[in-house]
Amino acid sequence: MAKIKLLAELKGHHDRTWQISWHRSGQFLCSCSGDRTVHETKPVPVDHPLVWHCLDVLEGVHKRTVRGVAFSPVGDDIATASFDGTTGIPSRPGYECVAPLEGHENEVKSVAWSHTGNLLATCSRDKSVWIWEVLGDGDFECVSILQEHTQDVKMVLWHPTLDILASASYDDTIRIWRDDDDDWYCSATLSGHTSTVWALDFNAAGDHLVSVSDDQTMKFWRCETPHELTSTGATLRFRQDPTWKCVATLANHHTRCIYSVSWSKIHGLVASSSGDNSICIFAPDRITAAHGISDINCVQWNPSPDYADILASAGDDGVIRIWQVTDVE
Amino acid sequence: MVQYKINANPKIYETAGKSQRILTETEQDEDCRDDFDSQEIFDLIRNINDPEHPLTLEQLNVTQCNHIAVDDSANYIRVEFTPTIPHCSMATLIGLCIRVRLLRSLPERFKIDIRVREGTHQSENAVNKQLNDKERVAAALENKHLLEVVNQCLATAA
Repeated sequence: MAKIKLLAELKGHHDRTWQISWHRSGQFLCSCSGDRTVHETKPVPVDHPLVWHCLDVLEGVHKRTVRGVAFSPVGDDIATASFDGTTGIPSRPGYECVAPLEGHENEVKSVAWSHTGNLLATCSRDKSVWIWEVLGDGDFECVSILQEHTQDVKMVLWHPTLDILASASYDDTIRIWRDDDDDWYCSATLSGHTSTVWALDFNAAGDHLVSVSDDQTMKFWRCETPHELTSTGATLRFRQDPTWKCVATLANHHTRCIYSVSWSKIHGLVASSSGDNSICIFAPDRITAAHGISDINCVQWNPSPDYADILASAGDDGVIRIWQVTDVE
Repeated sequence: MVQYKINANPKIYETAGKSQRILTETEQDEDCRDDFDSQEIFDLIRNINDPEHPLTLEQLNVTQCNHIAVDDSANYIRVEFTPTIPHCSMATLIGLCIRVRLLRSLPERFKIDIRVREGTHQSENAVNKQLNDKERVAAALENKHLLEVVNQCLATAA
């Protein structure tokens, strides 16, 4: 069994905290909340694990709940997704606010940067997924609007090493989006969940995906690359998209909606968080009442090898908690 | 708000007028732990006003005490309600009003499921899914117009 220790509690938000995003260095994080702000919080997790400072509070960027926040995997840029229908890109230094990205018809639910930081994806209750090209100097150009989900899109996430996007929806499906010469299309629809898919994450290699749902299950999906079709010496060139097959379903770990999942790229452990107030860690372990009586909306493993044992969580109580998970065999 | 009424002539039910709650001796003893029960939850929502009629949810038989399940020790409440007609487009709004009323009145520890009574609405699953998606509920309550409508329905509840 893993040993789990609560290292710190970061208070400051005045409403439900929705999401956290670690900086790639693992040395600070951003959180967003129903209080319409984003907090950038810096600890020194190893040297001073209990001492955290709020570095910056981003206020006035959004008029409504900030639902999503994402650190760029390459720079120090952050992107924010808000119920006010816009995506914010507060720029350095001091996160001065440049013009927000507009276009979605209503609430933006999630925002994600591709592995190179060259592409940004957003999704919305308007059922669409937008892909933006990052042109630099605060310029973004919408390169594709993908409208195949039939309901509210809850989350977008890029593949860890390729320009492949995954989206999760209220329509109970996950879709995988690829580009063919800048033409973005849906290459796979993953069906199996029986209610809203709230979140997903790739493993380090990007050949597996984990998803969590309101149906209280967690599903693991494996990417299967089709064999080249050959017939009588001539190679038939079809657009052969990999398929994703559900290889495992974990039920009975959570008793209410599962809102978030994080698959560590360092040690491979998966953490999930739920409306049943608990965080589960697979190799299965559990932190009960991890935020007291509150729903836990987000869990994120620290991305840095130096702090790989650190897990952060965000709850309806407006608190961010930092956990250390050790002795995992 | 609505130009024509979706259900112009709803059936009106006799109501008890006041709470049927019978206070027992232990409940009046301030040193005794007094768990929430379905009658108490019912009392919180029975006087919510219908969005299109000057009638309460109790008068329209939309909410009934025995359709409320409470497990205080497990911090769990399930409220089932019955739309006046199976195609009622107000069902989501009524459910939202019940949710907001309970959110405002009960301790935070409770997890609350609001559902349409099985077999009483043609879009039962869609209504239930929306009412129990806390993200969509949060977004709805940031909509000023909608919040006003909800507050109007709740004005009579207290």
